[in-house]
Amino acid sequence: MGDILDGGNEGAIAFSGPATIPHVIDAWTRLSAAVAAGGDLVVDIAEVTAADLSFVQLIEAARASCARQGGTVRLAQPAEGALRDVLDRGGFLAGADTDRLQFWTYAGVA
Amino acid sequence: MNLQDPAEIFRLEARELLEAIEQGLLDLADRQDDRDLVDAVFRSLHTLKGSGAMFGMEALAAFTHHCETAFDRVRKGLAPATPELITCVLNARDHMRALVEGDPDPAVGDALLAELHRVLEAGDAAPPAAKAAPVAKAWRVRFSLPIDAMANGTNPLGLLAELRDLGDCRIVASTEAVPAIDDLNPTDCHLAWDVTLAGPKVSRSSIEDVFLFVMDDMVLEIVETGAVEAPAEEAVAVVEAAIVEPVAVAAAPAPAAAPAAETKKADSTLRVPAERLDELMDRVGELVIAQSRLKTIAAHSPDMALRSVSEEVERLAAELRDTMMVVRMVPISNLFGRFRRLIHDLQRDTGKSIDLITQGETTELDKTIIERLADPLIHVIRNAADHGLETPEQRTAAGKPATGKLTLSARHSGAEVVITVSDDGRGIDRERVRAKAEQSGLIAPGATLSDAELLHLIFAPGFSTAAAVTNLSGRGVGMDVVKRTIESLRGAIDITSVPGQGSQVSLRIPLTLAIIDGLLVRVGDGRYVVPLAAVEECVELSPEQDARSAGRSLISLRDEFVPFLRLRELFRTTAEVGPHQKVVVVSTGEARVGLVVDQIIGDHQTVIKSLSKLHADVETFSGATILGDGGVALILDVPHLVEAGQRLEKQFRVAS
Repeated sequence: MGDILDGGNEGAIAFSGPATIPHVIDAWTRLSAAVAAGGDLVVDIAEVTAADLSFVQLIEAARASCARQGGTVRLAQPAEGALRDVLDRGGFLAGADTDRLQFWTYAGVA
Repeated sequence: MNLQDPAEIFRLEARELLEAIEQGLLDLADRQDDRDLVDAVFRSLHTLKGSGAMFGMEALAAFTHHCETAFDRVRKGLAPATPELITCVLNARDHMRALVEGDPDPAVGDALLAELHRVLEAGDAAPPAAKAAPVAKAWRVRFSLPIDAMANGTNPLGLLAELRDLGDCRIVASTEAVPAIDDLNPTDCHLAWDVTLAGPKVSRSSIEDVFLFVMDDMVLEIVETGAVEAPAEEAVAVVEAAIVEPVAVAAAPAPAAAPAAETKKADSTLRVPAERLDELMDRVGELVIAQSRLKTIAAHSPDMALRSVSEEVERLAAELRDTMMVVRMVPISNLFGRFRRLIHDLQRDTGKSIDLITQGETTELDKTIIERLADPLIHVIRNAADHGLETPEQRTAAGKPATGKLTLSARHSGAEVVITVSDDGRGIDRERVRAKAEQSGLIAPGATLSDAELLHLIFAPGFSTAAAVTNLSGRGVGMDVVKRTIESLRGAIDITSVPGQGSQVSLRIPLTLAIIDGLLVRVGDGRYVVPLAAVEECVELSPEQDARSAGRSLISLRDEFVPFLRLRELFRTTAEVGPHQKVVVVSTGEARVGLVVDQIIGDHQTVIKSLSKLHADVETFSGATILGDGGVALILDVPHLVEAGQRLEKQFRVAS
């Protein structure tokens, strides 16, 4: 698991290994601290090996909370592998919410 | 937020599910057409599979999947719930338990699956009902799951996959209800879904089936949108025009489902690790000891305020103790429930037909004691089924109903709980018990024994009257385990038997193991505690009576002779004999014995401390306690003293 890195106005947090419900409390503890620090946040998910809906819900909560504080959350890389699979199956990439689609997959980003 | 280890939470949940599966299957064995029971078992299997997969127990999930599939077929009316299938899934349940506890035997798993498939194929003879030509329809399903669904092991992705299996499906997740990250309990599920679904297989009931096991607490809205050709987006647009019928799912299950419902509603119950309760009990024990010291100091002080505080603390400590005792109590039904399975297996193994009747399931007993009673009771029940009850043919020949009756009952009796296992079988053959005991050297040939003593021989190590050793009993191990365990719980065993009519084994267990009310007595310079529950009365032993009974230690109590033991002699006290010796009459069940002491000091809240391993074979004492002045008093083991008294009485009987 990574740490919160200081990148000026942009904080960074990295997750690695399984991002599933047995680990979600740990992930929540770290992510909520990162959101509370304010500013924009980059989430590195490159090393995430397994994921479930609890992790997706957590990231979505962080996105909404950051937006309310005037900041943004972005992924350091588009979701792939296990996480992408969960997003597909969970219906997060369908529907009219293009922001969400873009957030998770970088779709439409040059 | 719950920060407990999720894997441990899963194991707890899994144990409850397995329990529910077992009870459901056993009920189903009696009522094979009960749809609610079939649904309940299916739901439990389904939840177990889902939770298992979610917590990384792939082997459990894969194995459970086969049983779930089997029950799915029963649920859909494609196969009957035959006794073979029920037995097979019961055996599979045991393997699931091993998988949960991390102690599986892979060979067993494979054999069970092969058996399951064989049973299923045999049951496939019944052809499925012909299906009417399906009419394709489109549906819109909006749902959110119970907030604790994910924490309880439900995998929403599994439900979505099942919806996809029904037909053409478009799923859109909604995160609108997800709270701000600070307010989020990350294991809760705040997600919702909007699903459009079309296809010939889709029906309201098939959609509801997907949510069968989470229905009770979820929000589910199913709307038929009609036109199948309509693309999903258009289907959404015609919602208003279609039949709008949100389903109040919570009300859906019939009230009759109640007995089979395995999901216990979490009213306001807390799950607390047993060790924490033990710790708390220890602290209460220490408090009682400290309070006892305070009482001693206050009694010797002229300070009225100190005395008043001391009395207040005494009252509070006693209340705390009583509350603590109640917290540790669980109904004995938890224990009795396990024996239904045992009886089921025993019927199969012995070929006997057995009716299990349970009484007094609401009787409460300390959780620790209940756990320790499981093994001894299994032995007693097995023994009753194997040796006590006759085969159906023998019973019919003896003019009895072919089905044997085994009654398991529990009741309070003073500070004890009495658990009785009785059968209406052939009764214990006293001649064979005697012959066997003489043959194995347990008693001298022709020894004079009371009936109770003779019957108690069956609890001697290595004793067995069974001509044939079965895998159930007859090896002579087991019944001595019963005796040892009950004695370690400071309990006692009563046994009665009437030839041709049956036997009855009663286990008498003290209500709690930790703190008891005791009678503090003095013998010589030592102080001892007699458990108050065992004390019947105290009488004075005048010097004249003492002198009269010097040769034969019997005291006449209301025209009845009661043997008595001089504790001074037993403990080899050399201190001078006081002029006012007392006899404390104690009893266990029917048997009574008097204990001669020098002085009765008074009642004493006794926190039982076990003796060291070095003293493990000292039978006269069951433990020790710390007194108010910091001294130590040994606690007398009444059952052993009564036994010794009975031996004494017998000697007199033989001599006279």
